[in-house]
Amino acid sequence: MSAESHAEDAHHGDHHDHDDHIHPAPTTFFTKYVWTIDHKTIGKQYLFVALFFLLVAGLMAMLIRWQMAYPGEQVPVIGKLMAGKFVFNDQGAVKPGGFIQLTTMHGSAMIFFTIIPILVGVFGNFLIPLHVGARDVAFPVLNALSFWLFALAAAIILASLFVEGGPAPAGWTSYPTLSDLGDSVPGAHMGQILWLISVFFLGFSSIIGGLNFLTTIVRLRAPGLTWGRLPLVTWAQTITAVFQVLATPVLAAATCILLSDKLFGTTFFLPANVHLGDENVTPTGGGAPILWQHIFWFYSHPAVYILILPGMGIASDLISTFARKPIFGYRAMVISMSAIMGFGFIVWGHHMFVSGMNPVLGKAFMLTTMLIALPSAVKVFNWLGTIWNANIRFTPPMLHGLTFVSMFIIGGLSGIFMAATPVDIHIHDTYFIVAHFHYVVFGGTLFAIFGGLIFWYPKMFGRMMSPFLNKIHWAISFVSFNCVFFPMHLLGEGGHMRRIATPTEYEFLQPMQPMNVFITWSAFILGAAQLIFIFNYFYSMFWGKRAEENPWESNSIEFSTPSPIPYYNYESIPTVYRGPYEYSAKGDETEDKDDYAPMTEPGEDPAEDH
Amino acid sequence: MNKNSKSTLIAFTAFLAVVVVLVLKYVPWDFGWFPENVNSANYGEEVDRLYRTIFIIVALTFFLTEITLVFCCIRFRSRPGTKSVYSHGSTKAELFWSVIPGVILVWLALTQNEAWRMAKIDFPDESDPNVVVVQVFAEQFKWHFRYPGTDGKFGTGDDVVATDKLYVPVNRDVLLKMSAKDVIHSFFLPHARVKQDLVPGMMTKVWFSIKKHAVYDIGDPEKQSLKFVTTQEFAEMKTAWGGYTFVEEKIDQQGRVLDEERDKKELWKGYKKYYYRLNDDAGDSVEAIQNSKIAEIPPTQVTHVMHYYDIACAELCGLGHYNMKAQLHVVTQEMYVQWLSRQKRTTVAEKFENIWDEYFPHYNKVRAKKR
Repeated sequence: MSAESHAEDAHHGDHHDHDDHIHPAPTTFFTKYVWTIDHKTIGKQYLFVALFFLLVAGLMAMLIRWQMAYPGEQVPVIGKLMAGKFVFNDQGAVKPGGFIQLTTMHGSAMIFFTIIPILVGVFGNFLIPLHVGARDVAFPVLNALSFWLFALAAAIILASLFVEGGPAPAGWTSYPTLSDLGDSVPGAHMGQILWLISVFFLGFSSIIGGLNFLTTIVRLRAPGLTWGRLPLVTWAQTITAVFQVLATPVLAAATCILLSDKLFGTTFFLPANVHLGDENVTPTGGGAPILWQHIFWFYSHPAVYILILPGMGIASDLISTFARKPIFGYRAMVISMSAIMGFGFIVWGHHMFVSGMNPVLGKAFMLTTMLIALPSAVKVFNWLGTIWNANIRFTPPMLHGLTFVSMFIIGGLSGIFMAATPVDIHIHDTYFIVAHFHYVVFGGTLFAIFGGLIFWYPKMFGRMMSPFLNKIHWAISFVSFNCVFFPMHLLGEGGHMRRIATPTEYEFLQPMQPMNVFITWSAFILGAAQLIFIFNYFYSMFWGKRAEENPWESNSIEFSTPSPIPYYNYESIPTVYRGPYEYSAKGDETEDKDDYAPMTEPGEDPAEDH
Repeated sequence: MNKNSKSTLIAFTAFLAVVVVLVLKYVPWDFGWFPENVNSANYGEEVDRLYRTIFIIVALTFFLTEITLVFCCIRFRSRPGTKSVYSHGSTKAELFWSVIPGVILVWLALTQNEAWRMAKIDFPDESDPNVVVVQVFAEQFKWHFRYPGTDGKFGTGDDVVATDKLYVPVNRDVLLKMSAKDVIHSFFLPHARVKQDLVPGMMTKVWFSIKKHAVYDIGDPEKQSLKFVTTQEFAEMKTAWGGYTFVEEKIDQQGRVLDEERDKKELWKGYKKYYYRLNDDAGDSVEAIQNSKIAEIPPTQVTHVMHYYDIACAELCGLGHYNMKAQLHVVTQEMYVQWLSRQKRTTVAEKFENIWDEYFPHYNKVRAKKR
């Protein structure tokens, strides 16, 4: 079958209600950069806000680590300046109440305001229309609304840092009754309320975004772009969007119910006769604290898969591109991601094994949690299969893509310990858990994000980042990251609990303190190394080497446009002739293009012969 | 696959087989970071054994995958003239690495069920007089432990409440019936692999049995250390015991007594010497020493001192979460009876009972185990 008839079939299959013409360009500063409906600019808007939060949350992590290593000691530089304010006591050290606010805000900012916005708001927004061969998402104005809801949520959470009592203190998990009773801990009143409102708006933004992306991918694919030719980046975004649409409303419900408890005196999560000190604060109660945990984790477990899936997609694309080889087992990769989504909805109880819920549920959730490790394992083997017999180019994006795989292996394997309920009894709420999720979210997703930001930089800004600085940043980050988080597995084995401001209070923890110091200094190096990336990122925007159209020799559609991509994306809607992974296909030697075959270049589809 | 890559595959597989053997032989399942497991309940050792099983599987997988990754990066790096082998995958390989991990994971899940049942579902019979039943009521930021008085029943006015100190006899099943007054707390006993949340408005249960006493060896100043000893070894030691009113002083290398507030930096670095001294303000405990045989040992001949296991709060509960600790004292049967008889009713006990007995009287009911 010739490529043309294929394209025709696909064209008949797609609905093209969407016009092919190009809208006039935005002209004013306001319409170009502020109230923009261009998905690429919206992606950049998300990026700058998210990078800001990355720095804020990172700084919070440094404060947490200082207090862990040197409990009660004045924080250098900042401590003297901010003594008595925010999280600092009068001596300029971190106070206990401030410490738990820091851990809460570090987690909340990283999950809700850094990682999810970058994965979905930046990569989703920027790439989805390009990858499906469209001019923009299905609902561009709604897309802008998504960003402004996110910005509103960001403003609210920042405001919560300055209210009386300080920001939310009850962990990013926000368990009642601690988060429910306004007087249980400083920050549990105003700070917690603002946290809940902010998260609500964030959820709103995510749900609209998810619907938008799903519609775009389902309806606006270019002729010839069948589901079987969709890049894995886009598949990951599709599945993530389904997750967002189905799970986020549950989070919204949870925040509304908790807000109702706090603002309107209901007692959904407050049992009767809760006493703060000698005072009975819920004479007419009747709620259950564990109910929050069920509702919260029903969303938040899918949320952590939202945190990893787009990264998996990015890693797949980066690895295939720079191994000059098709992704191993494309269909299995798609099925695995779908299985992760399916199972992702039935494992939430593994966060609650010792919560007091019926232990028989522990058996059920253990089985589903063990099973969800299987699709992830298959993906890891497929990535290894991709680089076997490959022709690997060690560009900075490839380094980050491989690091994703390597660190995800560790993070995924450590998860098996917690899936086992009897073992979880010992390691729950210890640093073993902290090690696990930092390996998957930082070691996995964040490194994939770095790789993606570098890879698509030429299309976003028309220039290249300095590969030298990228490699230095990667090397220092890789080593110091492992120095920070691997020892935490050992601390967890020893029983080192989470969220404790002064580990040395406990006798059995005192021998572990030198490890806390080692971790802290490694964390400082890790934090400092990120400045290299930030500098490289912003410097290169203005003074980086100008980028050509396809600097990486990639097959993907967006690399058939100028760098940076014009606001209308494509002069004319492209036609797709083959999948994105046709690298080194036999018999595809033409001048200048010996080992890649761009999707939109007319010709045969090598995958058809297989 | 061309001939060259086939031989690479065979050689590499052989190499991996060698790695498997080496890992199984030399990688320790425990890096030495686990606290000693003193739980003699039927699930006690199981937890550690299951950890070890998972660790071996995980270590093997880790080495196999990461070594493969590094190998590929070196062997298949791009050099002038090299090319990839075009392939979209292999269904045979997919099946291989789907079925085997799948079987292992399901097996792991099923094999853990027994230990979980023993720890969290099959509790000791409350009505059995050999089982020590203690009620635990946690608040910000203290643990209250209530024992039934001599009548063996809760809520009858002769109950004993201790704060932040849990006394249990060695080698007896201890069943804790727990709830919280204000926010969620969590009872964590690292040396027994015990953890359970305490939830307001609910009663949760946990049980364990401790087989060793925690003692400090202070006989030899150079070798002061925390040890866990059986009852027999304990009987052979000369042990001073002042009830729960020990005060320990930390001394630095110069013999200077360290102050908690002033010398924080020294305190966490570890101490060279412990110096135990009885708190003279303890009141009744000094009498107890004078009345008991143990007190007849002159201080200079005291070689070991009773210590405790740490109980920690493992669920964020507010400002004092970092410091919400309690002590598990594991004593002989005689010491336990003696300690119980010496406890006086305090206002703390009354407050505990006012809330617990008034609002949650059903927590006091003893439910005999259904056969």
